[in-house]
Amino acid sequence: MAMDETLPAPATTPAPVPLDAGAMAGDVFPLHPRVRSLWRWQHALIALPFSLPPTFIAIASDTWLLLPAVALGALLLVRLLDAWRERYAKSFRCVLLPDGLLVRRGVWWRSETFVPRARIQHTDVDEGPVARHFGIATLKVFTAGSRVSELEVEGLARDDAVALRDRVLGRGGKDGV
Amino acid sequence: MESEGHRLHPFSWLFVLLTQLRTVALPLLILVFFKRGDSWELWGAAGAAVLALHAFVYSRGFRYRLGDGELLVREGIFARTERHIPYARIQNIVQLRNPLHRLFGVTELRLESGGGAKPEAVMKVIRVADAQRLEQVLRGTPAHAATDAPAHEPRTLLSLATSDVLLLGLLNNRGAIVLGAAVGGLFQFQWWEKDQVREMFKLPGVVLHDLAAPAHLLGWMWTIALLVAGAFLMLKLFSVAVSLTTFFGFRLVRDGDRVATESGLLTRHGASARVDKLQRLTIGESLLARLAGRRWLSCDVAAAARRGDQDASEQRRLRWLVPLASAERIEAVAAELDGMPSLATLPWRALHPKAASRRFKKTFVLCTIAALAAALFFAPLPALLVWLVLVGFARLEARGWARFAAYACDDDVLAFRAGWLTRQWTIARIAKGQVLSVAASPFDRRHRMARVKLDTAGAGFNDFALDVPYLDEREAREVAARLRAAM
Repeated sequence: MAMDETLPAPATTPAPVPLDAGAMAGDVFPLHPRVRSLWRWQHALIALPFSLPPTFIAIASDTWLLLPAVALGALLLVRLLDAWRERYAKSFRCVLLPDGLLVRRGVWWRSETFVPRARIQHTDVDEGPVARHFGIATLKVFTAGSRVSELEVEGLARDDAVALRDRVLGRGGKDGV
Repeated sequence: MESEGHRLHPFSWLFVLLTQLRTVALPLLILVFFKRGDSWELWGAAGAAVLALHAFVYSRGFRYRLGDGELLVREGIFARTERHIPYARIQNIVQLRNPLHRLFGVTELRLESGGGAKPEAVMKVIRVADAQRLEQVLRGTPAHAATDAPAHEPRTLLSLATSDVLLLGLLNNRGAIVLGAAVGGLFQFQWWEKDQVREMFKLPGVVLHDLAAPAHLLGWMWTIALLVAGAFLMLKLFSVAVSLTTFFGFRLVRDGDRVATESGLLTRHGASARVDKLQRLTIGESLLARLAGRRWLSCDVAAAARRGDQDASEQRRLRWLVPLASAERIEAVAAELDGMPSLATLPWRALHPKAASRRFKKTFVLCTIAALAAALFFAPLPALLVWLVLVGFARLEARGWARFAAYACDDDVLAFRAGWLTRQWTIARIAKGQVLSVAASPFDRRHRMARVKLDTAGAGFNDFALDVPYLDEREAREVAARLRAAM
């Protein structure tokens, strides 16, 4: 599994927040190294609608000086989102445990979600056009639950997502329904 | 299918047609009433005739057969489908009998499995005796074997007397929706424009006008009090009516490994599910119910409930196990459901000591923001008064809520209780848990707290089935570890 150097090693992760610290012995599926490039695209797309109206106003009112300010603002927004994503990437940890899948993430609202293997009904591996260009995929894990009938793990390498999908499924057991 | 199998009731086409007509009733009515004299009537009649023919052919073609361990259903006119439904997969059985069904002595039977977008089979309609026979077959075939289970006589766990149903109506506000619809409907007619109505309101209007003088403040208050009392009376009246129509003759029956309910004044609803498929039990009591010494018990069943598909069929599923009964009665019923532990014997543990202040702070901040906005844009003094009242109320609520709130986790179940005026207990077997989550908001982290959430099937889309907030972080992890081991 390709470990991303920029991500913190498990040992240095501040207080790993597993459901059970001793049972974290599983395979870690890291984010794809180029996921930041993908996010940059997404952030640019978010910044675009915000910068369009001021741009039009600047052009319409002939205040061309506004344009650099708008560009600066958009850039700042993208940088802010990037910084937030960086913290998100630090918080992200996807571990395949012997008994299920554990995903920790969140910058301000943090959560650790655990899905037992036997509860997984089916899985999807989704790739958008841009994500496919970077070789990145999203693994969707479906359960019979009500609120979280779908757990999405975004930003995995495509091969990792497929490997995770193949390994998380299988093994019988009661589905709890 | 080699043998012919069973057919639906000969008059099934009528019920199929009526259901189809319901969806096109409005356009049809409009056609008939507003396009008089045109050829529209003819078109409408032709459409109805086509529908009737379709319903007839469909109903005649429908066959079902009780096979060995599975139910075979064949339906369709041009594209025929033959479905094999293993008995063990059928989780929910729902029966519907409106007055027309009862007139013909038939019932509409829906069989549902745990997943999928629609019921496995809808038999519209079969004889009551046939439905009973079918249910018996389904009941007699638990997941294991058909023979070693001794034929249990159905046992009635609870039956509500009419007085109980009337009390239920007085205690709840189920009539609010009906009342709202009635008021809304009245306003559609613009009755205040009608002369007769104006005459009717002339005298009270004059009296009110006189009373409106500052000297008659007391009179005004009387009038308002009367209006509020009238509205309350109407609400209770409608609630009693709704309770009677839905819960009249309510019966809860344990039959083999299934539990079934039946109720209704005009339209009788029946629903049953396997006991081991009950997901989460909820016990509740409002302030009024507590004063009357009563509670209610409901359950979730796993079933196909997709987003935006919370239609009538969901309401018809097994939900209310006990609409209203004493606490002891409910404990007794819960114990019959595969030995659900008694609430009293669960190892309840309090939440974090700061739970009350956290809960209060949340409401306090919201109230203050709203009051500040009101003070800025309207009048400062009333805003301050309202703010004081709300904050005082919030303080009481938070304290009462936290005093009662507790959770219990053993190797078998996770339970949570909370509430102040209205109290609620939720309990689920850990083995029914689908997803487990430990979450911490920034506020949680400031106080080293976290919440534990356990999701089960069939709980609705708004929240986790069990959501235990305001736990000490380490305690939350311990609980989560325990849940993970037991899931």
